[in-house]
Amino acid sequence: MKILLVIEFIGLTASALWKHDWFAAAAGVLIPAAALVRTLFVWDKARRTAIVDVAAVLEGFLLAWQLVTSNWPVLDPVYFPALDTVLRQFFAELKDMAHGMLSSLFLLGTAYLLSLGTAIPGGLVVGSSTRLRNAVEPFSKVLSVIPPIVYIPYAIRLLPSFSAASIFVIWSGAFWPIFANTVAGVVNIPETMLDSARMLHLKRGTFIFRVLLPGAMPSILTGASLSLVFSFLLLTAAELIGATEGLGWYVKDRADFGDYARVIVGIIFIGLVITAISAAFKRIEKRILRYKEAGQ
Amino acid sequence: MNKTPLIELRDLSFSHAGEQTLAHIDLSVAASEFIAVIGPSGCGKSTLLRLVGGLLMPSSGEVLVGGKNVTGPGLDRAMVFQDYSLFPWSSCADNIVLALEQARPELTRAERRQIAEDYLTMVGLANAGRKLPGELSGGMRQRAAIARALAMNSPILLMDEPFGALDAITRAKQQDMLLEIWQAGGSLKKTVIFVTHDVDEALILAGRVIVLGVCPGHVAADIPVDLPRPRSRATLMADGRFRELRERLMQELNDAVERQLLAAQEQQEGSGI
Repeated sequence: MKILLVIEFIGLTASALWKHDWFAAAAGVLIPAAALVRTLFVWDKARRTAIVDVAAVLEGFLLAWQLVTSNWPVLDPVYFPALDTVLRQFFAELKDMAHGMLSSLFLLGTAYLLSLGTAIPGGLVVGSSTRLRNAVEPFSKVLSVIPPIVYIPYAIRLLPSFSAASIFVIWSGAFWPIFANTVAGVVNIPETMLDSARMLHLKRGTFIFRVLLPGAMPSILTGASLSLVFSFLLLTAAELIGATEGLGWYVKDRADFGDYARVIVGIIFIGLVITAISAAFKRIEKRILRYKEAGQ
Repeated sequence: MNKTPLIELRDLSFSHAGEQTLAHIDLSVAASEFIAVIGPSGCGKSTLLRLVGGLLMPSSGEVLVGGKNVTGPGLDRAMVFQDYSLFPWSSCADNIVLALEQARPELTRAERRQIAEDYLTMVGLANAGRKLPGELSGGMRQRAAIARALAMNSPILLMDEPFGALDAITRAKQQDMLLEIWQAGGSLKKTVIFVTHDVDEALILAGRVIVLGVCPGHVAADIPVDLPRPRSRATLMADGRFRELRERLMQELNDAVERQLLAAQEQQEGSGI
């Protein structure tokens, strides 16, 4: 793939420079350069190859884009803006998008913390009592399968502000995966471990925080990561429908004006933000479950 | 035997899901006695231990500890299980400290840490305090679990096949260690009920062996182990009396298993008609 990357690099840079597409040309140089620098710090051969491969795929995609939109513009430039235009807009719009991101993340963060704060305690309580579990199960079964998107119009009417409505919708979507996995996590704690805890005669609070919660934690985190994906989906859906700021609104607003270059910019930005948050979540998850690497 | 037994089971029966696992068990254990409960699998020996621990409630009859009815787990009884005794998310020392927070609330944080270290040292895990249970071998993990049970300072120690999952050599080492610790207790020796399915283990450790029969579980034999203490593995194996007791226990266990098979056969024939 190294040779392919070099060919793509020459092709992209040359075709971009030919058309005076400075941003596209810069991308053509920076991608192989970044890959090269990265490989210098990685010793594992398989990973080094993977880095080069990823760079080659990206460079190839950009080269194709550059060729069909700038050098031989066969596609309608309104719907398929040139690579250079999109890159230029990306940097020009960073400030606006960052502002939108803050608004989105505020809603997302509030709703997500709210669902963690309700679903985990609820799941621990329901999970530790068979009777309560049986009583709640039919309701959670029906409620959890309702796509929360159907609440959106109703919630927007019912609640005083868009923020409140979207927080409610995200909460109702993120709640169930965490709740169900917390209950399952508690149920699946080995019986001997619970007996061992009971023999220690722990106080109720100590038992919940030092035994039930850590015991159910692997399962809780599975639910929480599922909910995180769900939250993004619902947040952007809610913003598309009723917001006046935020990332979802940004994309919808630009689309309403037929500004598809900025639509693409917005979509790429959303992708990057979600990837960054998911990566951060994985790190936290790995840290919390560090003890699992030790075995048993 | 003492006049007032520390642990007393009176006409104890236990059923679960319509099946009787234990029937009419009478058993007295004096303070500082080390008894082993042995029997074929399915005889309810773990159930018996859980009843004494207060993790299960009898269907009829009673469990008395120190003359009082057992209504649940208590700090006068510490228990070691075959597996999962320790919480895998806490270090060995933290596991012990957590137990001490409940068992001995009068201690300061530093004192609890110190006691945890002391007991880990006692079981030969002086430098393992910071280690997670998953980082230790099976034998070391059981030693840490024993350290926790000992640190709680409970007069009664209940052990449910604690060495059942270990290989033969590790198992022998653990038995020696337990024996040494128990014998070092002097006149304040702990009262131990040790559940096992290993005849040698029962004879090396215990002063009395209870053989449980099956269908439903009942006391099939109550055999005092009149081997001198302090014991050591090397001298016991050559001891004629040890071999005699071993023969007798094997016989009892075989009888119990045979009766179990016979009963199962009868049941099958009965249902076949």
